[in-house]
Amino acid sequence: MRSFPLAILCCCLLANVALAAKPKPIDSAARRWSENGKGGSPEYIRHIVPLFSRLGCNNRACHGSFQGQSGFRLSLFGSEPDKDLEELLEKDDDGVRLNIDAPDKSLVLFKPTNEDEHNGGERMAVGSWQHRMFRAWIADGAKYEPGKVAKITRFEVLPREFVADGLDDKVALRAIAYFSDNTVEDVTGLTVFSSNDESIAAVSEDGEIKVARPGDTSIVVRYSGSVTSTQVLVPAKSNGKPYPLTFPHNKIDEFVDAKLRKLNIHPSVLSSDSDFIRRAYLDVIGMLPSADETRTFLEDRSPDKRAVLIDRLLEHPNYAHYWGMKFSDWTGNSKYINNKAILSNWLWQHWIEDKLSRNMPYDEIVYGHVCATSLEGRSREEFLSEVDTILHKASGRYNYDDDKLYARRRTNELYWSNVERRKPETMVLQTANSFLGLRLECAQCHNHPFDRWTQRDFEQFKSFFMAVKFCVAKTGEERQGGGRGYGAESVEPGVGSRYARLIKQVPPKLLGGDEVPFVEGGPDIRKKLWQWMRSPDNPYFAPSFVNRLWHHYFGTGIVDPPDDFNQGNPPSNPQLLSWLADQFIEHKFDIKHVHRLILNSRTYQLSWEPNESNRLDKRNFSHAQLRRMPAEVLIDAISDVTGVENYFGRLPKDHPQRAVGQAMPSLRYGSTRGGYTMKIFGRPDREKTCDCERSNEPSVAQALYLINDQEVLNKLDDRGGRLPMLMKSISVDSELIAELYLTALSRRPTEEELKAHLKHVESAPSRAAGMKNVLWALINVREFVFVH
Amino acid sequence: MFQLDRRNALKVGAAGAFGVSLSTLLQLQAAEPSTRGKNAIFIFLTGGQAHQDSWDMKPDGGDTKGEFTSIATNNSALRVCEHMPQLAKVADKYTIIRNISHTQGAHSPGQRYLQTGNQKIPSLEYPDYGAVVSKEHASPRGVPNYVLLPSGGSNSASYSSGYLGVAQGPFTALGDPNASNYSVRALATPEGLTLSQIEARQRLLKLVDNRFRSVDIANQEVEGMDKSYQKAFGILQSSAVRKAFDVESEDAKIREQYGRHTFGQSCLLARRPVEAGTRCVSIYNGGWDTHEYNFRDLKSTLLPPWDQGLAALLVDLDQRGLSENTVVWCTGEFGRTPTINDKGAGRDHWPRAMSMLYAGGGIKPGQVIGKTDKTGAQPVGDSYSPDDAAASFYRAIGIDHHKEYYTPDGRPVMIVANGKPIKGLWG
Repeated sequence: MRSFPLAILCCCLLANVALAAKPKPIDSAARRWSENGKGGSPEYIRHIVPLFSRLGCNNRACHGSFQGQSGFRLSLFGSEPDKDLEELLEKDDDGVRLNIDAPDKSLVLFKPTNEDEHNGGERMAVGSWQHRMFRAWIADGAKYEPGKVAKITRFEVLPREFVADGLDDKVALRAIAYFSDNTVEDVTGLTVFSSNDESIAAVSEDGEIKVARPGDTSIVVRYSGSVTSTQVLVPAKSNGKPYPLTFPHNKIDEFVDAKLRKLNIHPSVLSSDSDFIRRAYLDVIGMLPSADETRTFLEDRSPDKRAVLIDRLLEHPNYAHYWGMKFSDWTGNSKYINNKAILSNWLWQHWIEDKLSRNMPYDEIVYGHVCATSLEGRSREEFLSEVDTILHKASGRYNYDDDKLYARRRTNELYWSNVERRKPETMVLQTANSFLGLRLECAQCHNHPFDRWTQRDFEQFKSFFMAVKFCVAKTGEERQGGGRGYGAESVEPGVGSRYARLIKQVPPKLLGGDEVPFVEGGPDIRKKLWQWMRSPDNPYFAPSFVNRLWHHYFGTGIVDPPDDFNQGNPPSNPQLLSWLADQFIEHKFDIKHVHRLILNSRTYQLSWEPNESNRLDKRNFSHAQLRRMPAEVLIDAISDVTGVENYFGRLPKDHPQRAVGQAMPSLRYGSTRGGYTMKIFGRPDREKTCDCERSNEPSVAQALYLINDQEVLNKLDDRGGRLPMLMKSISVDSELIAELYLTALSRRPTEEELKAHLKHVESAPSRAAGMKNVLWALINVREFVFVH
Repeated sequence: MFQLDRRNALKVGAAGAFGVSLSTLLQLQAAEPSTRGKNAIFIFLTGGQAHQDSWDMKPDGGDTKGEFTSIATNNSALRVCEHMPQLAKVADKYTIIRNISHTQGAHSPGQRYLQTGNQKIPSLEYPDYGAVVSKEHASPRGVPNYVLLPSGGSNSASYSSGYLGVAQGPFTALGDPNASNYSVRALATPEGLTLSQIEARQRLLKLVDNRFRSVDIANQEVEGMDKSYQKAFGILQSSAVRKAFDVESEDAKIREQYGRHTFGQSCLLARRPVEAGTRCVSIYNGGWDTHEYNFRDLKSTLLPPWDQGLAALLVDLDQRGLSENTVVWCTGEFGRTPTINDKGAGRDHWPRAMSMLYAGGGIKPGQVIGKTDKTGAQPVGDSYSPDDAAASFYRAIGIDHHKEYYTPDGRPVMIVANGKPIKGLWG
């Protein structure tokens, strides 16, 4: 067992706080209240409340439950120590909980020792240091003076990284807390340890790590509202082969390599050109390359052809459609926008597409959401006349050509104007998720268990989202009872009557930042919120966005899930994440710059074929993960391969009949026009503030669809489709089959495959029937539905 | 059930190239062992049904009593809510447990708990009951082991086959079986392919679908797609399955008995595949999260279809001689608060006490097990956990709940580690 003595701690300490007064180390509670320890006065916040957490008393399953347990309730994870003390001082049916005059008669002492029958069993032993400490605190008068509590200024765990030397290697973690009274205390005995992946490394209650198999994970460490983690790396056994020589394309590869070397995981080789072109098309613009495009690329001999292709794809019109869809997912462009959902969904989608096609800086796009207004400085009459134009055109002739009026606006008011979204609690969750990668749901009801956010933080942050006023903007059209479009209400800074008092009582405060008082008629405080978000010091804004892009390209985020940044879910490669975020900030939030960095890295261009050492790796990007195409991309791919488009109904002018970039067809057309297919392949309704709403889980319904759904069969049978056309122009069977391979799989068939297909066509009733089966098979091979 | 692992599939594929016919392949499949055992219909009332407004009425509950009165049933020991007249008539066919208690007061952890019999932990996803049954009890070839019928409503639970992998995932029949043109898509294709065309295509596919098979990849999505294809082909080649899902071919009188609403027809649709050999059907019925307007919604939209559909199912299973071999279990994720809030008289989440129904499969019917206090806040005397309830379910269908599986990363896990079957269920 390796252990980390306090000497190490003191060294770090000296280095870190050289200028401050030297902190005074205090003996750990475990030592002070051991049998021969010198004892002392335990402190309520520092020792007693953390003990409740460590012993599990204030868990959700025990007294931390909202209903309490057996009549005794503690706040969940000790988030409200004041209330807990009140509760402790109350009398119970079974007796006195805290008996200062006769401490041993306190229920809270003889229940957890199970001296009196305790449903939760024995949590601590009589005579243990925990028992002595708790008793000493009671005997001392159960003191708690909120004003005098020293705050934690830093909390850390040692070692910060543990690289196991074989499967027998163990280590005991130590948790160290620094306090504002300039003391530093080893709080290991009062800390809660948990492993993010027990199959790689488990951790005992006392913080002892035992590794189980090669890989890496984090141990999360919690004490008194502070959370940190340590990374555990278990290198694979060497198979005798040296780490391969790699040639980094850019910095990304250096960070990835550094971690892989520690784990002794070897990266796969570079992908082939045909795998690369297919992957890049599908990932950047959500469509397959045509056979001609693939041929040209494969024949191109220039060394920089991949970089050239990447640049070309980033300028492709479908880039905005595809990433507009992604933004719509992230920001929740759902049917609940307002009662004019159809048009609203399109306006929203087109608004984003407009910004993306101009490569507007990301912070500006976020401004357009967070600080959206309807007037944008115009007079009310001008605004209403614009609404009338949009509505009139939309309802009168049922086309959408004037929605460019909306798309060109600086801000997207629809982000705020959904009925559901007028509630500040909805908007705060949505905004934290969309632009900060945070899930604040926990903090809505209690302090976040794995992060520093308290319920109070949540409430104050929420107040920013009360600083808007909604006015009904009745249009001529609507007064006459017509109107099938948006335009029901306008959004302006201010405060509605409902929240006017609340916003003063609970002044807006930035997460981990300053209060921003709201002044009626004063400047829009949402701008302060936005400035805080885009500030280079914001730990979430840039990282969460680059991480979402990363997740898109690799199927796994550096922080994963990508919208769950919290201290208990640390990045698998912190250096990589912070470098990417810094790049993003340095380049003024240029989205395409980050795309380019990732796409040009060797890491992105690695083959999907694993080797012996990296087969099980997902967290460290040693090879490309096979990822099923998103629903929309798959529908379009089938259309492109068969040459028969889906019919989604009447769409905005110039909008192709493609699933990618569709605002919300499944809602508009029920299940008949693409809606069913979207659903079974996991397109989200965008009603949950969670990236997990889009699903890649395979199912029997998906297989049935590809094998035998009328929608697919019709495309194969269509006389105007690609196959009948190719059959006329290519008379040699093997050439026709090769062309179909290029179209569907962006590669040529192997000899074996060609032989099987030819044999099949020969034995088929007709050439047409045989070739139709060939094309069917190409849609149904696993290779087709996967991005690889 | 036809289950070839990747390497065997490769061998079969290669053999196919040298002329092994499909019929030989089918024989290979038929040689797969088939387990015999009981069936299950699991009805999950997501959102959490108010126990004190259904199975555990509290006439002396004072302020917590609520708006409903109780009625007698054909079991003298049981009185139920006045809005459950059909279930009241057939109380001799089921047993009610009133003293289930746990501490998971939020939907997601509560649902996972009641869907699996295990408390949620971060590093491991437990499989739903249907996935376990699917793993343990095979169906005739081509018939899906596990069918999921999401029958609408909010707070619908997410399903997962957890560490058993997507191979044990459900065959999900979407849509409203009460709709006039209901069919499970891609199953029946009048203008579609004939069986021999499908088989010809399948033969070709086996020969050319090799690129991901040539290397040993560990990817759950790819593996899941493989298994889904195997199941899909089996289903397409089974006329019994096509017929089972053709709910319109059912006798009109029987359809009426179940009730012409989504829930009733879902219950009917649950019986049909069980007859065809499906081993577990799960109906997920949402909308029971009555924080607001508890009484209005229970009375008007929630209780009546549930009452009619479930009662009809129990009667129908009995009449067809299926009840002996089919366990029916109906529960939500928790009960609801005794306190009635001021949001239009709603009730909030309350895991401390809840009720559930068991029927069939050798469980002794006509019993009422356990009791709660005056307001339905806590069990009085003994109480059971969802682990115990799950262990009972497994015992009833003949699966050892302590059986150990290995997760994909080699960790041993018991189906239900903590529960014990509730003995009283067997009298």
